[in-house]
Amino acid sequence: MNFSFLDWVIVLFYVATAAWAGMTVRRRVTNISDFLVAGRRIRYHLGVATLVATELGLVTMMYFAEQGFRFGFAAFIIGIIWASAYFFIGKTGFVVDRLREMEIVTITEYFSVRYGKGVRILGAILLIIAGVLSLGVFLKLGAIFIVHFLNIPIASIHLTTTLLLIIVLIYTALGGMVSVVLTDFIQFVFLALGMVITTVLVMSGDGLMGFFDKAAGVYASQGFDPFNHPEYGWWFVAYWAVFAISGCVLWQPVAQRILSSENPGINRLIFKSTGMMFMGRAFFPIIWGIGAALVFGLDSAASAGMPRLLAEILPIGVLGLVTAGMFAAMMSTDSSYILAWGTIIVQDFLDPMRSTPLSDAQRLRWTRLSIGVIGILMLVFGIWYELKDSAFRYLLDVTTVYYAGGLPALVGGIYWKRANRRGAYAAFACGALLPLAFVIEDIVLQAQGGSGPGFVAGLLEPNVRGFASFALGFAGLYAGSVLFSKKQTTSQE
Amino acid sequence: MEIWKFIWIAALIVGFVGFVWISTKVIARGFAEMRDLLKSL
Repeated sequence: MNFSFLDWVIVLFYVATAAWAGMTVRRRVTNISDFLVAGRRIRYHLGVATLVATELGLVTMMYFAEQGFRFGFAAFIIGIIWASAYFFIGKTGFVVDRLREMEIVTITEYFSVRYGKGVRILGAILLIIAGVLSLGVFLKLGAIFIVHFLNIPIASIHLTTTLLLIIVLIYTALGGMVSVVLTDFIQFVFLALGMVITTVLVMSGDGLMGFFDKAAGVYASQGFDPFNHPEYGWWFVAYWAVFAISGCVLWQPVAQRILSSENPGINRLIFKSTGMMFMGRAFFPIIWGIGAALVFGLDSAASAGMPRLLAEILPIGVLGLVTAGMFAAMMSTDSSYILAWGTIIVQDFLDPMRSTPLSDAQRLRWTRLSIGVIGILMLVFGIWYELKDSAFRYLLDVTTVYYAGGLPALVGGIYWKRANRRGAYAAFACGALLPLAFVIEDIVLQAQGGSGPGFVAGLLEPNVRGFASFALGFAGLYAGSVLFSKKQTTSQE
Repeated sequence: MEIWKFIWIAALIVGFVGFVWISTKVIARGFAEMRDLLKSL
């Protein structure tokens, strides 16, 4: 790979602009509403930019490329279902209309309003577990990309990623949501340009039809039909559909944007447009992964394939633009996620645990401190933890810990009058049971140096386990609400 | 396999055109919204 002077200028220009823009807005952020939800003044175009930039991280491109590399075009089903979920929410306003009208700051705050403080704290604990475990692999995948793309020594990797993380932490802690939105917009410009150009270049050698024909020779029919693929199939479709809906309404970085928009109508428009963008979000990196498999062969390392391919095919100038785009992807997602979880820790965990509520100044101080702690956790976990399966599968498992109980509690709370506090507790407990057991077992096994699947991993096939977790969550909500409804009414009287 | 190939080619074209179209719109008009947001704070 030839990284020219021009490429370095483009990359340094991007990093300097993003850092400067993020840090200079600090003086404009005067209260907690500005810091957490940008004063609820986000309009349509900015809303789309920030939602796409947040949910399109370097980690996203790495795990989609890995899916494409290993499973071919069958992986497109992920993008189709994800985009459909966004269209559905945009068309119907399902859940999000009601949430925006309530003027809350986090989704777990809704649990407090509907079910009480205890459910809010339980939901926040599960969300913090899911978020911190997810964030742990962000730096790891970013490091794999940088090693293979820029071909730099392993020793420099931790320094490079730590440096980028420090820049992100500083501007997030200083400017909060306003900094994040501003930098998201700059990052969106680099990201969109970089992704489109890269996709064209990856396919340009063979042409559209030639690329598909070549892939057919490598992956055969299984690499095109998601319903007959052992990695996907009907169980995956069912699991991923409920997971995608959960992602739209429960995932704090997405929710924070729902709650930052000017009104519910703008939310719907943002979701519809983002649905279309999310098809590209999945398709483009999958294409890059398939392109890497066609060049290097299916026997080579899947996660390293995409950065190796891009390093080989991108010309001078485009290389710098794509590097800036990838750094943009990494920084925008990291900053949004760090802010989102810093907010959750303070709003939904620390504050409800206290007898007197935190003042605005204390809230701001604690959120900034939480942002620093999350950054340290990201570094430690990112360096220590080794992925056993694909990164995509890992993220599904850890996020289901929160989603499987959160979705029934949220949907039931809004649309089912009989849903009550005990039902919500049961939903969270039943939903988290399988995925939490699996994740804990996985971490314990790794700490002990063990290899191979543990007891929980062997119980159910991963897609069945995921779908069953949601089913258990809904069953928990129903059983808890119906069985205990009379007792609760009596005690309230 | 041919049916799936056709479906994915069509989906890729729709996804590509949609991505380019919305990105262009967002980049063109997002600057003004960002300026308004900063002014309003």
